[in-house]
Amino acid sequence: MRRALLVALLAGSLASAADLEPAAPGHASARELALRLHDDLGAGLAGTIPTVVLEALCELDHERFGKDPGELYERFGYLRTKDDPLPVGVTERRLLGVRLRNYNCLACHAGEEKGALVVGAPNRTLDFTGFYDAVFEAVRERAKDTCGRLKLLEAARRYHHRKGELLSVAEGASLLAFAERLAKADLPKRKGEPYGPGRTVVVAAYRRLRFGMDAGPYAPVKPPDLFGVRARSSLLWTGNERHAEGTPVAEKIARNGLLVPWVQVHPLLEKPVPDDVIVSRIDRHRRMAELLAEAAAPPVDAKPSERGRQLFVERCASCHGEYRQEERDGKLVTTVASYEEKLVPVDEVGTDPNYEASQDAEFARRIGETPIGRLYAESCSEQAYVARPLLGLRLRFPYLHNGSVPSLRALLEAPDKRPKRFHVGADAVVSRDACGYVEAEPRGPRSALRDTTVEGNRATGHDYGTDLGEADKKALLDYLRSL
Amino acid sequence: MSFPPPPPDSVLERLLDEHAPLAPAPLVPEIQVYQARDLYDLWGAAEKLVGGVLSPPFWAVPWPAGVAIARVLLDAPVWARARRCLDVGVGGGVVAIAAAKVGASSSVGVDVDPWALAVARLAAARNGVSIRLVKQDLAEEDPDETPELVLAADLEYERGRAPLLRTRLEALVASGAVLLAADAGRGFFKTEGLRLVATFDVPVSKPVEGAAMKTARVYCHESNVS
Repeated sequence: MRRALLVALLAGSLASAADLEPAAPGHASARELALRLHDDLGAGLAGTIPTVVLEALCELDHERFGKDPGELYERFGYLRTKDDPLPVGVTERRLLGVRLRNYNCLACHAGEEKGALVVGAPNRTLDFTGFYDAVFEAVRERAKDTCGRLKLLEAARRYHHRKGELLSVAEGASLLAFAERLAKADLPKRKGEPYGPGRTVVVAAYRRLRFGMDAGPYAPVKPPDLFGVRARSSLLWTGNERHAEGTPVAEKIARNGLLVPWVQVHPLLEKPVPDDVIVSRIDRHRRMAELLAEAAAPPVDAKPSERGRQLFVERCASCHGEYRQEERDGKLVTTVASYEEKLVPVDEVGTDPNYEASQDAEFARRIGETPIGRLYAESCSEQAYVARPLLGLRLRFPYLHNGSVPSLRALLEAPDKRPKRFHVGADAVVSRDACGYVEAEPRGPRSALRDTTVEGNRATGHDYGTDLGEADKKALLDYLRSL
Repeated sequence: MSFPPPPPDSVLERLLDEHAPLAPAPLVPEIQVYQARDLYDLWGAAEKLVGGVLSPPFWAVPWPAGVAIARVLLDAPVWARARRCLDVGVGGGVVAIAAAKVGASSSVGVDVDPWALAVARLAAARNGVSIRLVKQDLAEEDPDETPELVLAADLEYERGRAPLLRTRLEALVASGAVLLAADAGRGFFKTEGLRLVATFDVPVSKPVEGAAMKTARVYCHESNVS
């Protein structure tokens, strides 16, 4: 009886975590969000996976991939809103009768809080590269020869039979073609340990696939939040892209979206998508970008102490700006009062240098020479990280650009006192008090251990506020949590 | 995994006549086997016939490694003559039929797919030989009769099953059997412990194999080489 109750409770908690309310971001309408949730942004075939491939893998290996693609996505931390069969940011288009899946900005740039979708928050549970690595590897190992590919096709047929459907000839052919192509593809070998939930590959894939450069150092990075973009001039963690004065923020987002590697390069494509085709997609990107530009962190209930605000002004504001907080409808709404983008040299801030180092001068030069790069006023290598606005900071753990510090509480500890290893992901344990992950065994399999002793994962630097007393740290943390 | 059983012989023969007529096998025209005109059409027709999902009709393709072993047996009957022969993964039956043709004391074909057993039985009859067919997964269990010659062709294409099958083949060799194994580029075939006996270029179905010709290599176990 007790066991049955426990199972029921666990099932309930999982269900509530999976089915989010589709909250509207900022001033954008719910209708606009609904239109963008699965908008493929005109990405063409680059990066697509036939849906039938995912179905075949689920049929072959329930234990690893779940019983259907919905479960597969959930296992890799994709979010899902109520009554929506497709996860947030997953797209499905039909071409010649073949369903093709891809992703859009919202897969990484929509998180959750209190059971609601929050557009603009990073999705800290999504193991984006883990998903693709697992799917590609599972197909590759079965697709080495005709007999293996036929067994994949058999699995797809069984899946459809189980659903009372017949697999169409076109979809069967797409499965075989995808599998054969993947088996022959020269996929890049990733450096170092897996990126894990809440981080992704950006520069390495770009360097190797687009420019034929070496992949650069192991440099995992979080998708940046979009709450403070209106206050910023550049948008990247490094501030390496410069936009002309007066460029609307949505335009900046749209341009940067074009840079997402798999919009234009993909291991299965023999050559990158032509530049003019990529640039022609910017209108589709603009519509998504307008939604993202409206992103705002949800207001909070509690008002922080004045002491916390004072400490913030004294210790943090010179880099991170100042904020206005006012009550509206019983909630505390935060907006930027003043912020001037500040690039802090890597040597000064002391945080892990790999991500910045992966964008060296040669990389910046090559970006600048692409038609996308030419949309910028300048593409440079600043050897710095941007001190970002801190709106919605509570939704952005683990902290620093590489997600190397589990919580705000840990960030207020001296770097050598910060946790060396901690779990991240949908099943990792989260503490509201610490504002982030805590060192504890995860509740389930959707988690990964982050080892900050590895180069690229270092939790060094940004030791501001670490000298405060315990009471002041608590007050400052309360304030940071309220932003 | 259980699949719908094959229909009665008369129904199965009608299906084969329509979609996979008997024809001389490539490289071994002395043997006739059922060969799919279009593998996918045959697969669909067979599933429609029994109203369920079937394993791919591996039994309607003269796989290049299989016909290569059959060629070796026909050219050098000494491998099989007067020996108890076991064909692992009998498929359409070309290897077991070749063993029977050259005077094996017994020719046994095993397969996990009951359709393969039915089709191989029909093919053996049409070739005027008798083979014994057993539904068995040698990745999971020992054969019910100790063989003197083990024949294994184009089997190692699944990561999970390939090492299990190889372990079984090694165990049979350790118990005194001679092994002839052949491969035409399957994903998980390993040549460790094997000696090359012969190489053949075999014409294959382009829609199935993605090429008009495949190279098949026949090996024996190195412990069988005196």
